[in-house]
Amino acid sequence: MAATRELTFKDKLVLRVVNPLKGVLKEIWGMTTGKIALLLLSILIAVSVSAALTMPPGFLDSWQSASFWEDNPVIVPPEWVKYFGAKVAPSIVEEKSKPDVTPQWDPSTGILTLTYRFEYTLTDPVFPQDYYFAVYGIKSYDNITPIITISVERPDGITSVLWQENIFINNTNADVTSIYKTDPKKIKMDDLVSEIFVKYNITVPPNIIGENYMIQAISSSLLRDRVVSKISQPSTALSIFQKPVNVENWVTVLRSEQRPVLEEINNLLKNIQGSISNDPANILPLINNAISNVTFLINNLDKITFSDLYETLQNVSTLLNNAYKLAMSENYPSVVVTNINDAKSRIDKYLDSLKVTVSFIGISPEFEILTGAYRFEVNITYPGVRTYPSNPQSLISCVKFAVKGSVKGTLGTINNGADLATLLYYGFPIALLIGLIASVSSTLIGVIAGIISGYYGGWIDEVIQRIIDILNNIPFLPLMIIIGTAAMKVLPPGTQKSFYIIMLYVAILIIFSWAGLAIVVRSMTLSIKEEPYIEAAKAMGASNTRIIFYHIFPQVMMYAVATLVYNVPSAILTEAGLSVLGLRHGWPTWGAVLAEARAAGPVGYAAWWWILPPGLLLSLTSLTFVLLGLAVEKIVEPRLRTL
Amino acid sequence: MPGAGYYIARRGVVLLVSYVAIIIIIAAILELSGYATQIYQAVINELVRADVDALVKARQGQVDPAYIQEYRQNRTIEYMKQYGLIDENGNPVPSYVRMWKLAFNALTFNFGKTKEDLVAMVVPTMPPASITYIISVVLPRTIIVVTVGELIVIAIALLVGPRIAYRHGTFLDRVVVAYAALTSAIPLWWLAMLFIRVFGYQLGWFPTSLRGVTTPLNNFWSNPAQNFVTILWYITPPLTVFTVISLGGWLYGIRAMVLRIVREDYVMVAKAKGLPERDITRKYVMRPSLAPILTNVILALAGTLGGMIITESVFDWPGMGTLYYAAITTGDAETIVALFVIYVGVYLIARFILEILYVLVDPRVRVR
Repeated sequence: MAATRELTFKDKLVLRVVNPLKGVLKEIWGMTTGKIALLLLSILIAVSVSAALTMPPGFLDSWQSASFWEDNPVIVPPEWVKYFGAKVAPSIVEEKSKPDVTPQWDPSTGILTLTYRFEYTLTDPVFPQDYYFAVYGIKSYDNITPIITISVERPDGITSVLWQENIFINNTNADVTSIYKTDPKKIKMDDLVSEIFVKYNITVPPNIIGENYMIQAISSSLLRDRVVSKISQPSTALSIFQKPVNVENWVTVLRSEQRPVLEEINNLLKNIQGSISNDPANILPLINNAISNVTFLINNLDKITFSDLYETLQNVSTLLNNAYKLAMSENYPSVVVTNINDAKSRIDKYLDSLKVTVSFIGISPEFEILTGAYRFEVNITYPGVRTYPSNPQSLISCVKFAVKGSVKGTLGTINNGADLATLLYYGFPIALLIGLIASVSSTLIGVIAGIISGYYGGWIDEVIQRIIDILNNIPFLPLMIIIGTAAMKVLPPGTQKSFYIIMLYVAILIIFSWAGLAIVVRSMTLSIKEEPYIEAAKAMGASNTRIIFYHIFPQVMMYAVATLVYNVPSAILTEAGLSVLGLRHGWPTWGAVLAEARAAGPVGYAAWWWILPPGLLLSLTSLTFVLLGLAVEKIVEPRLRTL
Repeated sequence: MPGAGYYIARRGVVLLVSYVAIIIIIAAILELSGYATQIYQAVINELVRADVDALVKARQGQVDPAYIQEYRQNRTIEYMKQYGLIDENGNPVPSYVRMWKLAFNALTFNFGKTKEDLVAMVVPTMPPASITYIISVVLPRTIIVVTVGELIVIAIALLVGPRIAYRHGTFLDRVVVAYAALTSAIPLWWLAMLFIRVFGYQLGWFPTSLRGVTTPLNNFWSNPAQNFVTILWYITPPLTVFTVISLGGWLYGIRAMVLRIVREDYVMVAKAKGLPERDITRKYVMRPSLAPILTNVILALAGTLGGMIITESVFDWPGMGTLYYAAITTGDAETIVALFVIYVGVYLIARFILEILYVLVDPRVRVR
């Protein structure tokens, strides 16, 4: 007979839990809001589970360390902004454990070379943020340490060595490995600039400079200095991405600026001419010669070269020097001597100024971002290798090339280079865990306290009600702040600290959110207690526990579920709010990400990708539970109204 | 049957006891966890260092190192006595004894002085500054923005809420429910961050930090008209954000409250009798909903003091929230304790006012 068959645990479970749950879900699914809520909830849970399962070990503690994200650019927008017309420089990270060319060995010189090649393509005229090369696990061979040479072939055909360094390995033992990392600030600028000078035919125009060797040398070194300082803008590292433009306009001649100076000199010379009345030593021809030289310069100012100007003035200076010596030896009037001396020193000063600042020519180099494919080559050479190693590839474990572009990832990066998409992804399980633990625990406590308080009454009721009174009178946010601050200070630093602080928050949330539910449950219990079937159950000898679990609990449950659902977002939002308020626990919660943005000030606020997505996730998660709560509430309401 | 006075007095005593209990619990937490000791130790180290520096300066560097050592030790012991870490005989005072002193100081508003620049800058004043003074300046600023905001929201909700309740099930009603659901999910302070980002940094319409409001507030009477406009300009961002977010919940709440009454039998009867809609609203609907609405208003006014801490600090409105932020980021424990004590006090006073109003509005409470 089927009726007498004992129900197994599984049957009971299906009957009492699975079937009602199915019913409720069906009912929720029947509502539009319920449908949306259930869909969102299932997405939330799926993402949380996958994030929790794939979270790399130690992520929670190391997400804030800069070395964890060293390959990422800092505070850059997501990659997809390029589809909205933004010009971007991509970020890449490439690692190679094998050389691209079979290791070369020249038996005559003994040079062993391992070559690795990388390519980076710049399609838009935008600078990447930075780049570097790293060579991991470098071993010495035969007590020979390698030389690392990194060179680039630019889209315009220029090939230049960027770095060359001899690696220092402490103990030249084959087992000891070393790591080499380039510093983009130490780029070999001279080589690059030389290549650019050759390729783009950048010279000081001979028709301006003339043939004076010294003037040529001064001018070209000046040109070089200006080019180096210009190409290093905005940084040395980015100099390789620049190409010169408008080369023909770089050098301008400042001829007209010379005229006032030359005329001043001419006047000084004419003064000398006028002051000589008696000329025993024949100084006048010298002066006249000087005047004619200067007049020639003034008249031909539009044509003369820099060298001509310089040499002619030098010549005038020599003439005046001779005149001065003669005037001194022949006891010319002091006014003549002084005038000659004045004119000479004026010319010498002018010569000096021409030599030092090159006031005859102005140089303003112009550069543009060079787009196209950049081919980098890393050569690791061991000089003087006597015997070819059996496995040359094992000398180097891997070579990495990382370009920090102007965009990165699905959601961009924040100020320590952390990939926002990754942070937010791993924030899912934390948020859900905080919300669910706090909410489930407080609901359980609230239901139990409410039932006990209502069912047993007497002094138990009194104690619970007074506790609720006190809890209701404490504003809990300030309390959380004070306890959180104390915890941050007192807890010893360590990997568990963040966990303890978060659990402390959850504990306070639990303590403060059961009271409201307990009051309602108590009043429900009071009215259920008076129902006749409870009397009947008591008369039949049912225990208190049985009555509570079989008769009261099921009726209170749906209301409790609604409260539970509503409490989830408030727990999540409270944690986030505390983070924004400056209480850092150290875990990458969505609130912590927003707190970082806020602490970064204008930089953080400027980065929309830093502020918008975490807040949206917080809002969406809350909305899921709010909508679910609304749906559950609709189911609960009829029963509430019977009270 | 005891009267209303008895009831109010009883509630007053309960609230007072809660207040004292909360302060004692907090004192216990701070002392027993060792947090307070750490703070005192840091303060004492700082004071001793300052004293030694002063000594060296006064003697122009001509001091025997051994004497400095002795002097440092003496000063440390003296300050430790002063701060109650050791007693007169030099024996350490256990933390369960010290917590009573801390609680007593907190209950008598003897909060001490802050030494943090950031904290004092909220007023602004120079450290060391009396914490009681700082809070007395800062608390009204919080009340200005929070109370005004809450009153605006309540006024709008009371005007619109009942109308929506009558149009239960219409498109407008659904819009309001959706709006309420949405705003209950969006954190107030996040919207504040977005507001700062868009209207502050991007468009430049409003300041990105509201700290500047102190100037027109302090010199209000020098040019009331102009200062009023300036204050209005400063107050707009928090008020806008606050109104947008909390209006949803209020509309939903009042709608639900009125809806419950509209469905009551006596309203149905009134409708069936053919009474004009306006009379039904005034006599049958609004009157019974007055008590719960008033309760909610007062409770909200008390609650917002706690709820705006984060938003205020995000806007850098120089009120309690910003003071909290400054105290937390500089680790100024004394200010945090003081703020907590004041918050609990203000909250409990609000609760007490609520209890009184409760008794006045709803006679049933008296017989509870």
